[in-house]
Amino acid sequence: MAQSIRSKKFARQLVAMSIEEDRVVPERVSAVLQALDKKPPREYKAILRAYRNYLKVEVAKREAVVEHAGPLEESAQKQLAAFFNDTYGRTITIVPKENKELLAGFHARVGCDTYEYSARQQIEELARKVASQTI
Amino acid sequence: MSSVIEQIEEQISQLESKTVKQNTGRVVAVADGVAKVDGLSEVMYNEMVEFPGGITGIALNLEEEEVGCIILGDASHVRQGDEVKTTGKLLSIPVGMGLLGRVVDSIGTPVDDKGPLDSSERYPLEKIAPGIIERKSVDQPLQTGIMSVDSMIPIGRGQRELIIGDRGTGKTTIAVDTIINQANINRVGEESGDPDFRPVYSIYVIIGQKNANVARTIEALREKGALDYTIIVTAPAADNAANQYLAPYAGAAIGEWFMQNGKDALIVYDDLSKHAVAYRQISLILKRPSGREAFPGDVFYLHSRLLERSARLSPEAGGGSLTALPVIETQAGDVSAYIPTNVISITDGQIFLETDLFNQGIRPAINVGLSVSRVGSAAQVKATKQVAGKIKLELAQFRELAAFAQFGSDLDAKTKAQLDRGARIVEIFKQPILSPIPMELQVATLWGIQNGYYDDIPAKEIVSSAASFREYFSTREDATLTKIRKEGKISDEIAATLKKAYEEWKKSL
Repeated sequence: MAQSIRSKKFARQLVAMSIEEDRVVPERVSAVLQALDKKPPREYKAILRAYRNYLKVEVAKREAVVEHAGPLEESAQKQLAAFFNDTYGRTITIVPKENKELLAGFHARVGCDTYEYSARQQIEELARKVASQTI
Repeated sequence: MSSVIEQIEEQISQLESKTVKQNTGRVVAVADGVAKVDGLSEVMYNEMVEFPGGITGIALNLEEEEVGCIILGDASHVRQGDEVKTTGKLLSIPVGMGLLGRVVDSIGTPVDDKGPLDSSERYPLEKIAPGIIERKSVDQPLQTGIMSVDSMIPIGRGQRELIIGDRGTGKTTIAVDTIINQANINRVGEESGDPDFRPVYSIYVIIGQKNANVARTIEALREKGALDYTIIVTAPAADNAANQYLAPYAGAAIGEWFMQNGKDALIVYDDLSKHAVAYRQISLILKRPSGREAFPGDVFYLHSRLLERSARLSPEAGGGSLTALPVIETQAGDVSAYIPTNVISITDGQIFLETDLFNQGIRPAINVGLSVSRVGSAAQVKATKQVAGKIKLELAQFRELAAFAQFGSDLDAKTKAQLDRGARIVEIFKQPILSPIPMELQVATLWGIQNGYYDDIPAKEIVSSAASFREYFSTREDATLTKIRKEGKISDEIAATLKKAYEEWKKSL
């Protein structure tokens, strides 16, 4: 248990080294990986796993994956980016992703937060309400 | 068909068109009713979370990388990778008068096929107990209808009195008798039209019991007409550990509503040993460090924060009360085990039931020596005090002498008299199940034993003789009984009536 705490702490230090100006820098990540490969620490695999998980969280925190049904205009993307930057106080990159199952509107995810503005969710909500009333 | 379309159109117009923000996470692992969730960065401790399919959970372990949630409902529908959403709400339960006569589960869902609950208010399951400023010392009695309890181990409104004993010694019977007695008193009080009368509503929390036993208890309460004044919160043995863990807090929330609204309520936790076991199960699955008997370190807090919610409030705070009767099951009479000692130290006294006494036919099998009420005497009715003041001492002396007398046959007259009297006191306290005795009849019976009217009756016939006297007295002296109930003490006039009644009854024997 103590060793795993140590490896987690070490992984967190590696993540801090991979971030510059509040964003994950791919070059720094490569440098960290190369350095580790040259001189593998104890619990190398556990450290790499923890590093990957922490990095995933850091990337997710700085990314807004916006699923959309129709085309997502450049201006709409800018509006969304400005909104997320304001909300979280950091630079959020918009990653558009087409999802026709949404029917209309969008569904965005920033870290653990989700923003729902899709026709599919509204219809599902309506179906749930009607079903509960019919029962 | 058109009405359905109209309904849908109405719903469409009501739909919110703004963006819905939610904090979410993903299920990493599910085991034994507990889900480990990745994400949920904004979840609060004890917050309700929503799993797909409308399944509710509670966030119990907020760790650095994961959140441990207990699942309330069928965990078999929760899968790895499922999205979990925070709700921003703490677990709450419907409360109010509309719950009387109903049977609900730990999250307030009715389980009695009587339709939805008539309740508009909700109370959180977890709440900080009333502080010292709001509290008042116990000063009003809570009659159990069990003569040995009311006379020797009196309970006051707002007190926490533990019922402890091995399995099959009559713990549930004492609790159920008390609930029935409250219903009987409520009926008499309501019929009298006394504006100062304060009914006591009961909440019976069932934890980890067999469904057959639950059904039997509910039936007994219904038969005796007590169900109308009772709310049953059930988490039987077949329920998952999470529901068994939450049931007492749900009951406490329901009871608190009565207390906070200036009413009196009684809550029975049957039983807290199984509650502790359910909590141990959850804690072990959540990988919390275990301590003595594998219980987690906060098992004392588990029960102290629950029982501290029972209180007698000051008139400024509404004057309500919540009396608690927690039940603990011991193993082979071992009161020094972990959970029994914890709950003994939290409560204001205990009623200790013994298997040996039960097997000897002394029922209720209360061990008077080990039983105590630390605050109840301040609330005892004066009439009971007048007739039962010395009985506990006499009974203790009897037990000592009886043990000593086994070794010798030649006893002096005084010792013999003490033994005879003790045997009669033991007999008079025997009481059948589900038959609580009203306070005024208890007083009349004990007055008789105090004044020697049972001394010439053979010990074996004491139980039937006392029952016969109670019947004789209640049919002929109803006015005197009402007087004892209202005045709460034995005046010279009442004493004279009792004397006359006993003399006449003895002639009729």
